[in-house]
Amino acid sequence: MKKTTLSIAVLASLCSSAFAASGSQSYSPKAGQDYPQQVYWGDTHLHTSYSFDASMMGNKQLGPADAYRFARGEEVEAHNGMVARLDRPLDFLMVSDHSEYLGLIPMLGTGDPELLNDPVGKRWAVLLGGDTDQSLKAMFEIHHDINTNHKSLANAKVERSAWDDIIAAADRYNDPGKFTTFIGYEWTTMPGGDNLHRVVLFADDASKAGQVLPFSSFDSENPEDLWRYLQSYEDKTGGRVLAIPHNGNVSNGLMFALTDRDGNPLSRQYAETRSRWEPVAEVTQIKGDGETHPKLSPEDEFADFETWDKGNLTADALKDDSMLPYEYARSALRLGLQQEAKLGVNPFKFGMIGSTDAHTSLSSGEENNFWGKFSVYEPNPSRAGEYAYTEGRQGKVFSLRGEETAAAGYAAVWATENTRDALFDAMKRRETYATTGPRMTVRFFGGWDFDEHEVERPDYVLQGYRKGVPMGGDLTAAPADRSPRFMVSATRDPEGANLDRVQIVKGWLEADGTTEEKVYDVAWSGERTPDANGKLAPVGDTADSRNATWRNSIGAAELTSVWTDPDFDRAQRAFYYVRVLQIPTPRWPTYDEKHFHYQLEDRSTPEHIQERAYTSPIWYTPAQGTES
Amino acid sequence: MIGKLIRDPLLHFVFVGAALFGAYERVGSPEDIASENVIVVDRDALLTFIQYRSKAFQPEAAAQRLDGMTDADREALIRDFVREEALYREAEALGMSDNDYIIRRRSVQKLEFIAQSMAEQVVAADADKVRDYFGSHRQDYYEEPSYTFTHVFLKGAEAAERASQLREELNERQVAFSDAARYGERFLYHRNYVERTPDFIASHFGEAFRDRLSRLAPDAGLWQGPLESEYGAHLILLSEYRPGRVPELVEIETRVEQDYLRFEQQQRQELAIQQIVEQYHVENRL
Repeated sequence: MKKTTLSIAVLASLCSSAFAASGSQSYSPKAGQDYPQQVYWGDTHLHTSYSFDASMMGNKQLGPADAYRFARGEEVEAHNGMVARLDRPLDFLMVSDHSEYLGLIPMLGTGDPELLNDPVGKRWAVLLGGDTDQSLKAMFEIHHDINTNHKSLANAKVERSAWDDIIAAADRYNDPGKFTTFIGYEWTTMPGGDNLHRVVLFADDASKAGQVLPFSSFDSENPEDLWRYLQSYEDKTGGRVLAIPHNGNVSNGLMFALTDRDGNPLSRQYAETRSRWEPVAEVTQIKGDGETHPKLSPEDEFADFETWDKGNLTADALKDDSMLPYEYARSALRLGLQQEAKLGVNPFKFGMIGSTDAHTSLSSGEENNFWGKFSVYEPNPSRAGEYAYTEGRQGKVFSLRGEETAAAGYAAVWATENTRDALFDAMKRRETYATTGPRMTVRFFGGWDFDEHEVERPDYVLQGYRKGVPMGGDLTAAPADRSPRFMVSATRDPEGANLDRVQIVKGWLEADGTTEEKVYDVAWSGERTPDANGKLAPVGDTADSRNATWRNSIGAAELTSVWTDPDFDRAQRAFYYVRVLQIPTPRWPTYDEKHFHYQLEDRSTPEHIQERAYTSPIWYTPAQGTES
Repeated sequence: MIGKLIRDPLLHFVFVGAALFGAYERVGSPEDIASENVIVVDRDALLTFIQYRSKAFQPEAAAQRLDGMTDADREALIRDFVREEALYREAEALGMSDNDYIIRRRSVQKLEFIAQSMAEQVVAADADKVRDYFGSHRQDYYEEPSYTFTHVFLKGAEAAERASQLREELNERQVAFSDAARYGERFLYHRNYVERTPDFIASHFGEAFRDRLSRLAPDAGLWQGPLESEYGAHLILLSEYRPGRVPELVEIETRVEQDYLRFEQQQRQELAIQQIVEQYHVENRL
């Protein structure tokens, strides 16, 4: 009996290898086809009236339920009296209100007597009743509390009830298969105003997430304490949770620093813990783009995109160039290779997502449907020219103008179905990408055995999973004399602009311990040939500022490539990710000018931009003994 | 607009009130400041109102907007103006100029129901009322028609002809939904379309294709077509067509219940505002 079983097993394995080699038909039609067939679009970072700053900056009436209604495609009345609606519904959303003073400001607004009896509560209530400057003053006082980890108004009742409301709204709107909601919040630590924020995302429902209260920066400003909290949550409830860092660009060198909060070099344990809890990073959003910076990537002519590099989050400190390497994703991925060689574990092994970080309850990442960072910046003819921070006022060391905010971004997730579990699994395996708003479809596989025309096959996706790994995956054990091949396919947003080009960004670790990066154009539209320096000419620009339109008369609807790394060295650690660029289209203030019939004076931002997507990397790690 | 105002007892309420008050000081001639319970609607008042509401202080643009309004739009504007003014006067009458903190508290008390909508409390709704609400809002729950199909795509010279031949082969071999991936060429968008609306399909294949698809009868065992799109020829295995419909209440009860509660809160707000507005006499000088 045993023998028979064994021989059947052997036979089966022979058959399956024959199947893989020749492509002959399996008896089971769906064998090997449980891979993600669909990309789901969402936002894991959205604030509502329950966030102190959202509420103080005009979000008085739109709570979590409104946020979910808007995201699933319904009309919602905004604070400026206009009806807001998404062009197309999102597939998932997490309301992630600040855990610090969660729900407090709306409670002050209702005149909760207990809060008004507290002198601080009373002071804020009065300031909030004043003009915009006074509300800003109240907001900066709360910023100060958070910067200094000082909770000047504690009220357990408010915290519990606000968290219960948020959980209940998420569970109420979760509709598996159609629209997924996540329970979550934002841990808003910012020592001295330097941003170390993380969004915390639970895979679970109220029965588990309701057993804890959000961890706040008043509990600790140290990310390692947040990770301990996440561990204790999983231990206590058997649930699952992860954290998503964002806006390294306003961290003044802290987000991907090579020391912990006490100033010690990173340890193996730090690296293991960080990569365990933070599988993806939010690399593009309203407060600027975080892929790379022109000073970090001087050879990359597309590096200067929605750049926010004046200083820290609260405009209390200026930036200097030495901080940049520890702020941006590409650079952090390079540092990660270095740290991995040293520690044995990569602390910065993250995939990429985008999200909005809007504080309006309206998850709108599109240039022509942008509802602003705060409710006071909902569409109106003055928002692009107004100053959120003014240098020299209220201690601010630089000015920040409305036009500088970016209408971005969204998270694209390759999951097997639209449920909390499946989306969470996909984020854990980093099968995700970021876009700055448009919904282009991007597939990316790495492997050793793709043939040159693999991507032209109708079942190239199946081959991608069979012969290789998808975005977020790992390659190792390079066969002798082989270089890794990457199969990439990018399709424009069906309702958006054509594509200019597809690039593969490679970073690697040299034998001497330094890191390098290079951007390769791997597919492009039209009849362009790279020049002597390998640079491809710009695609052109059909965008018309006066009418806020563009034409798809340039660019391509889809671009594909099977690309072999021409500079591969099997002894070098490396990562590869894809960047897809659209043809130029109008930026949001251009749509504002058209809609409100005015002209933005002293404009400092471009009229047209090339929107983009960034995939999670595929890492190559030399097998033991082959590393230089 | 008024809903916003009323739901905004602190900042917005006082801000708009103060703004209007300031505006009166600037533009109002003495006779415009009428007796306590008369609200005067004239051109100046409306222009000021438009500018504050759009937060753009451009008198010419405001005048242009006012003059370009339809009668219905102008009536709506006047209604909003009167409501806002009434609420502001009410607030002022409660002693705003003496102590703006008290007025805020009083305003808040007067509008206590606001807290409910903000706190998103789950309140059990009466089943009969939910059913009635559903009856009168059925169209809000209309679900678009949808198609579920897979397709085999061919492009280039004589794509349609080659597709016709391939169709015979697919039907002869009874190639199923899950096995179709090995045939044809890659298509830039999806291979399988599950419960997708006509608009979605048109955005991927073009409108002509959508219309052609609408003429096929679903048959999960039959490859049909080829249908032409702007990209090439498509053989279709259309397994399901679901006509547009309004679901039964039992299928969407939770959602309808939420909407009903929301609706009821709004109604109660409207009523409260109406009661305040009715205390004033409106004098239209337009």
